[in-house]
Amino acid sequence: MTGLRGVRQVGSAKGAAAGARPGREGTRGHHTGRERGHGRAAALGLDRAADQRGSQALELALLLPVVALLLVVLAVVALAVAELVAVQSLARDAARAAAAGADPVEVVTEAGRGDAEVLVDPPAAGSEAGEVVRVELAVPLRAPAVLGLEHHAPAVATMPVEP
Amino acid sequence: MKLLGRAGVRERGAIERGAVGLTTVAVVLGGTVLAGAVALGAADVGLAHARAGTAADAAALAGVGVDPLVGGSGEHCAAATSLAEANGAVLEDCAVTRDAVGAQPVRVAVRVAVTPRSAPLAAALGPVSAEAVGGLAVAEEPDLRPEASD
Repeated sequence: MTGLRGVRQVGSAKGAAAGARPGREGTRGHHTGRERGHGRAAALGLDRAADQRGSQALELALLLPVVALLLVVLAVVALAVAELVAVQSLARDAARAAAAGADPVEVVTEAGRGDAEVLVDPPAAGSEAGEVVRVELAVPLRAPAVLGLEHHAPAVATMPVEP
Repeated sequence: MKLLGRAGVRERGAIERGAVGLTTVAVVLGGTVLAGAVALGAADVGLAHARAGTAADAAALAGVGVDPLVGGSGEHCAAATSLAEANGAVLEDCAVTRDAVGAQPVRVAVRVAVTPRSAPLAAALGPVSAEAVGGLAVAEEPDLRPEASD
């Protein structure tokens, strides 16, 4: 850099108008070379930035299905949770019906759960004070079936026989 | 030297790109695990609440069902305790109220508690409780007064 400046100064100190030109041309020519270098670096930088953008887009494209699958799994879990609570409430209703002398299977069927297994103990409820009736349900959950999973939700409720 | 330098820059860039990818994966997986844990915790608490509601209803009904008015032993809270335990709950409170002139001569109010199955959740939140009130309804007495005639 220092040498370059010296050359330019010498060129301009010769006084002639024409004498200044070679210096300028030389300088211009040298600058052109440097600009070429800068251009290459800039091009490399642009290429690198484009590469990074491309790789990030690729990573996103690879991650998106995984994220979508995880979101679906979470939604299924949430739906299964709501279903489990509903099944527990259904077991209570069925046990209340059995304790009152009604048919618990009918209660379960009316709730749209005809595919549930219903176990009543004792099968024929008495009418004495202090007796209890126990209803056990095994209901196939619908939410996990979306993912091809089969799971039965158990729910148990015990109620006193209503005299 | 320049070539090596460029290669170094490229390697560093690759490492940085990889780091970005790893960070994204870690954030996504961490968020999913966290959301899953929250969902399972909510499920556990929701189920415990449902079971507590069932146990409270059963305990209140059992307490009323043993009243001497309906031929029972009169041990309201003992019966309530038995039904609460049969539904996987613990009877925390039991109160029997008698009202000779009201529509319900006997009222049994109970509070039961159910512990969530997850030990960390049970330690953090404690048991889930539910309340219920059972009462005996008095049948309306028939009106035996003679009807007014014209």
